[in-house]
Amino acid sequence: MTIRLPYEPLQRGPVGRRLAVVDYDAARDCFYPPVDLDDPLILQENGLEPRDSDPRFHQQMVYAVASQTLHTFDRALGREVRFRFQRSGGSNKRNQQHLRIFPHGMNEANAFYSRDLRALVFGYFSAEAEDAGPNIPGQPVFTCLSHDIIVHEMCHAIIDGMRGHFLEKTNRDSLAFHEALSDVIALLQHFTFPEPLLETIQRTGGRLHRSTLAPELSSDEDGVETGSGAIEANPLVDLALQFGESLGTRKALRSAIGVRPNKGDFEVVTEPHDRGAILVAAIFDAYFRVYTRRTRDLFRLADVAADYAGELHPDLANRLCSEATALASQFVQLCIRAVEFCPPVDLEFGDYLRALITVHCKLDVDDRDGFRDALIRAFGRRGIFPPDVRSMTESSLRWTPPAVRLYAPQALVDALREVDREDGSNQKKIAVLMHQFCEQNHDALGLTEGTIAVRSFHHAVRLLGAELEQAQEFVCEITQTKEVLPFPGSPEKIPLRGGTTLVVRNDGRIRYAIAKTLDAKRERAQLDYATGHEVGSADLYRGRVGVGELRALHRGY
Amino acid sequence: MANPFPDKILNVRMYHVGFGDCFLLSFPSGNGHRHVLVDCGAHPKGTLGNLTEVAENIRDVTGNHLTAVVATHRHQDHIWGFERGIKTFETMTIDEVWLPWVEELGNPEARAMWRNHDGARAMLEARLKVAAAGPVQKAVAAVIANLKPNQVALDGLRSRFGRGIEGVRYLYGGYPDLVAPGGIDGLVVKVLGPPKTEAFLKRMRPPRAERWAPAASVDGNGIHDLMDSPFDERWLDPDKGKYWEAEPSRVFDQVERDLFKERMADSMDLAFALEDAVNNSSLVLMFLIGKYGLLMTGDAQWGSWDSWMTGDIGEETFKRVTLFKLGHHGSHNATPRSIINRLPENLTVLVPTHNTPFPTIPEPDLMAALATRSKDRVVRSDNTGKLPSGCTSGDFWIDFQMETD
Repeated sequence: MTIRLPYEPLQRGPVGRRLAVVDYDAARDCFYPPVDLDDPLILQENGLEPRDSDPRFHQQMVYAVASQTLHTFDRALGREVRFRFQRSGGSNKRNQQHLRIFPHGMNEANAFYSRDLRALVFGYFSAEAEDAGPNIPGQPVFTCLSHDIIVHEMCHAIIDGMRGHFLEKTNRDSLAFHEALSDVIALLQHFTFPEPLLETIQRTGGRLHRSTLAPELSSDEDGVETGSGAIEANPLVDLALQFGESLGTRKALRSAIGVRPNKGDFEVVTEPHDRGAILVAAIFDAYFRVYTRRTRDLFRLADVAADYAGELHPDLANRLCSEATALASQFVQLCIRAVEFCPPVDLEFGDYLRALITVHCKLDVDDRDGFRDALIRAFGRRGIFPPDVRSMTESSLRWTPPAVRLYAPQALVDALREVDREDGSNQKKIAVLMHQFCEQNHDALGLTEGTIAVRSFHHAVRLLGAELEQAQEFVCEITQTKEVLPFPGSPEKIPLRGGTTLVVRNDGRIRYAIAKTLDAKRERAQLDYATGHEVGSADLYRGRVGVGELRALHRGY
Repeated sequence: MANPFPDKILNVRMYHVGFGDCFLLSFPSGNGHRHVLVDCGAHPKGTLGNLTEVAENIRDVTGNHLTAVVATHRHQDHIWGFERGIKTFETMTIDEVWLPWVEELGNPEARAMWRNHDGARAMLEARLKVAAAGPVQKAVAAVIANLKPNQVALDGLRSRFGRGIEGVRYLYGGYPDLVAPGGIDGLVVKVLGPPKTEAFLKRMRPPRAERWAPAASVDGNGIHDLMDSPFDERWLDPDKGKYWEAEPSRVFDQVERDLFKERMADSMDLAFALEDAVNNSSLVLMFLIGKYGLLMTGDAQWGSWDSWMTGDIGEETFKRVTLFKLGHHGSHNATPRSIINRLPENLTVLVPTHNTPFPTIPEPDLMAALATRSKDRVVRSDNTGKLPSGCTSGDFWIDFQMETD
């Protein structure tokens, strides 16, 4: 499989503008030589051929897959994504432009994103003797050679860049969301590669969902048929097969997608991966439902019965394949763009549904394929209901503009239009003006009196709808923090978070104020959550030990 | 069962609980004995499952009265019995409880230390949940099981088993000598450790000359082996990363590399580091009575030893030791090499140990050196080997008796 990327000049490593592959192995304190992708011998072969035993191929692979993920986000967001730690080196500051990728950073069955190391670290390990699956016992297994793992970790880094507070455990959903979205993007990527997809379409008689989703979609008014016979895991839904088998992990996801949804799970499941799997399953449920609607006519035209299990005509298979890949790209875009429409702090899964619906309304007003209906049903069937929403209908789920018509002052709009990351004085100006604006209008914006911090702002140009109408928007994150004693006599305070995501139209009108108001109710809920949990686990993200480190969370990778 | 020990006999009972410490010191006093219990716990992965019986035996032997209960440090293999046997301890008369200073709730330094410790432990636990169970993970799991704070036991100890906080002392190296504590005539207890400064607490690994086993690639009690290099030799960068030093954007220079390496310490390193840090918080007590000196070391490691063993206090202590409770079940890193020859030759060594869950404990070289020094007066709680004179074995204990006058 070939991955195509926009050209950028590369130094050895490869080191590009935003990503730097550094092949340092901390377990052995040694380096593996960096690949030079501009080497004519490599160029003429279109890159190095896949080879397990050549670290330079590993470097090329992580670089390519990570870059591709970055571009996927850039495109969906209409701007260049930034990492949380990114800043230019001043006179005596270290340059922090790069996310560093260590393809062989440790001798562990693990991979993780770490904000303070500014790195993705991939481990390698030897396949277990007793239970190695198809691996030769003792053979080295490289997490950096798994497309899924690379995409997953890369998503953590990018999401952290977009919403830095999502790594904080203010409720049971925020970390789970990190895991879920990373899995969703990694999984959907599979559906955008035509070659392996075509094979699966042939094998499943075109009903991609058959093996995994059959039980939950049975006897549905969409006419999705009950799968019959043995349930074989759908290869496209198996994340990182090689590693799954080496580690015996990642069962959570498979079982979440393969079984009938259970509303009770949403109430009781708290472990971030298991909880994340519920969200992943909801999004895939919607994906398969839309796919079914979109392809019903093709099946009818080709006169293929619902229970047909034989070979498909190659033309039909090709058409189904292009529907599936196009749809997967749409879902990826939708899922990524929706992050921008999430509140800056204290995210709950239901908020994400509202963000998805809001974004999709703008993308496709008519919704002939029933995306929104599919999403609403998929979430509802899993008991994921947004807070403060009266009904699970499109109109109540869409974010609403502030109750009063509100415009950002002209000076602020002008400054935002010229937002230039390298220009510190303009950034400062925006921050000051935004700060003033928020303080003056805190009620309307869902903020409370008290400290207001302007976290980030960007300008995005996006293409919307069938006519590719251009939309220019500014998105700003405003947060509020209150430090309180979790219990009387506690030796230290914990931060409670509130905040608002402001979506500002090009003319300054406040389109949305997506708020998590730091009122008494929210304070209580966050306090209860913090104190109801083992000190250690809360410290993991607040204390010195694991700031911003997702390593601990990873079930093997 | 009233006093089972003959008058004028100083009795030390070492219970066999598996991998763990439990010592009952019975001092002759007046017409009978007064008793001090030092630790009561077993490692969750190396327990014999008899901690409740041990607690009941303690109650019976002491006539329901302990003058003092000592918990040297909070590891399960030293305090689990205070949970398992809590019903028993709650019915007994307990005059005093002695704990290391790091257990005092109001102490801000202690809070900070435990917060970091708990955070790191939680991280390790989460990592374990995710990785397949290989030998490394099993070893880490064993260490972690021991680190989990036993809140029931700690609460019991801090409240003198529900009787109140008076009589609970938080001790540290240099604390004023306890003279005739709880009315035990002639007894003086010197507090040698734990040190109060973090600098000492943090020093876990002895310098090379003080170690028993050659330092492995990591300090993992020999269990942790790196897998072979994942690549052919020829892929090792002969320039050792020089390229990155010269690289203009300073993506990964030496500073960054050191930082990265430190942070990448693997699970095994981290697990043992945590374990060791708490070991260093152990109470180290010297019980002096008549001509006897009982050195109870808890699981103190290098930083703790180093804080007192060199000066006059060390000199005095080593001269007077007659009974030495070996630290950390005889591991390779808890007993400095240089002390062996400073111990008197007529000494008896008590080793609470068991081969599960760590097959490399006790360290053979250390055991051999102690046997030589003490002329074979080394007693293991699992009672393998010949008992030296003065020792008798019971159902699940060994008594060592000393005559006083």
